[in-house]
Amino acid sequence: MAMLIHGVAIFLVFLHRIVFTRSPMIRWIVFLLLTGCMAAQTGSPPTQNQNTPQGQAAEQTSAAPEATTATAGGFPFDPFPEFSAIMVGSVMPGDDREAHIYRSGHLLRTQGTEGFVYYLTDLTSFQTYAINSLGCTSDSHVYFRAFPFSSNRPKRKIERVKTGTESVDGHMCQVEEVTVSGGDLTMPMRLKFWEAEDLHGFPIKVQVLKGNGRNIIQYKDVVLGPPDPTLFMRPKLCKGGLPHREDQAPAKKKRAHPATKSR
Amino acid sequence: MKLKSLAIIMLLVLGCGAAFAQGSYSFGFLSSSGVNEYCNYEAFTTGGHGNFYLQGYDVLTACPYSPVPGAAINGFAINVPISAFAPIHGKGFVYSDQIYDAYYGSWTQLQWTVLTKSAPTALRFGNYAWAGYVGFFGYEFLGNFGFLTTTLPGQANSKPTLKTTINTTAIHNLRTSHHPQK
Repeated sequence: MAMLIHGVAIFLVFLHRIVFTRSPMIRWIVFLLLTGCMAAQTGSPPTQNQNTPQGQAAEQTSAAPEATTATAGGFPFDPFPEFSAIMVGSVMPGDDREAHIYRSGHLLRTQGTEGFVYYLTDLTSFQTYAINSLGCTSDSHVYFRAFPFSSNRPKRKIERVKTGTESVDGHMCQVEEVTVSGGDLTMPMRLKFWEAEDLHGFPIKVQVLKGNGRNIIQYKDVVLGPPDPTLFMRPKLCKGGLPHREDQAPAKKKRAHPATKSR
Repeated sequence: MKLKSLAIIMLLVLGCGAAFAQGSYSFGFLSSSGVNEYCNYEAFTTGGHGNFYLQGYDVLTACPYSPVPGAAINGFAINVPISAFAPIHGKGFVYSDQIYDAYYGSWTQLQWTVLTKSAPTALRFGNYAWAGYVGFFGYEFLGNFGFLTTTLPGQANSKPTLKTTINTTAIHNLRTSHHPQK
C-alpha cells in the first residue's frame, strides 16, 4: 500500500513538471499516452485469483451437486478417429432411418438418404464430396448426417458436465451434457451424450437439448478401429484433397475387422 | 414524326413488359441420381425488375400424411459462382421454405433453404438443378440435391416417388405423430 502511494506521488510530480514546463505539443502527446495506458489498464479483464465478485461466482459454479461433475476437454467423439457404425436418426426430429457411417481421421463417410449416393466430409476443411453413379460433386457445407462430428471447430469452447449413468441397449453409459459455444456459433448448442463404458466411452446416443427433444442420433454395431481405406477414396473426377482412385464407381462398403464391437 | 413516336412508345412498353415480366414454374425434384422423384414439388412465380423476386409453394399434396397441402416459399434471384463449390452454379433462385414446420405440423426449429434453377437440366454429372440446405443451431448443412423435372409427382410417366426432399421421418413415425395411438 505504501509503495502504491509512493508511486502515485512520483507520477503526479512527473505529470506536473511535464504539463507546466514542456511545449504544448509534448504536453499533449504525454497526456494522450498516459490516458491511453490508464484506459487500457481499466479495460483489462480481472484475473480469477482476484477476490472479486467474479472470482467468487466462479468458485460457486464449480461447487456442483454430487451427481454432476464438470469436466473440461475436447468433444466426446475426439478420442475415436477410427470407427465404423450404423447410425439411426439425425438432427431431424423423429428420424429413425439407418445409415452406415465410417470415420478415418479427418474424413467421415455417411450414406445418402436414398442409398444412391454417399458423402465424404472433411472434418478439417468442412468440405463435403457427394459421390454417386454420375460422378462426384462438392459443397462447402457439412452433410447433415455428419452432425455432431462437425461440431468441434477452431475457437469453439466445449464444456462437459457428467450427470450420471444410464443403460442404453444393454450398454452401461456415462451421461454427459455438453455445451458448445463461441467461435462462429451465434448461440450455444447443448447436447447430451450417452458414452458406453464397454466401448471405451464411445457415445452411442446423442440428443439435441433443444425444442421437443426428438432430435436423437444413435450409433449401433460400433466397430472401433480403422475402416477399409478404400471407403474414403474418391473418383478422379472429384476435386479436392481426398485420396485418389482410378475408376469412377463408388467404393463398395466393407467393414473393418472388429477390434471392439457393440451389439 | 407520328411513326417515330409510336415506335418509341412501343419500345418503352416492350421494355417495361420485359422488365416486369412474370414467370410461372412448376418442377418436380429428382434425386441426385435422377432415378427417383420426391413427393413434393415446387410451384412458383417470379417477378419484379429482372425477375428478382420468387414466391410460391412447396406443394405436399402427393406426400403421405402431410397435415397441410403446401409450404410457403419466397426468395430472390441469385447467381451462384463456380468458386462456391455448390452442387448448382450459374443463374437461379434461392428461397426459404416452410416445409419442415408444414410437414411436421409443429415448430421444428429447422430451416430449409433451396437453390433452384428455373428450368430442368440434362441428367448428367455436374448439371444439378437444385440443392437444399438444412439450417439448424444457427448453422447450415448440406441436405440434399438433384435434378428438376416438369413431370410432377403422381402424374403419368412420373418416376418412382420417394419421400420429401427434406427426407425427414419414416412414414409410420409421421402417422404416429399426426394420429397418436391411444
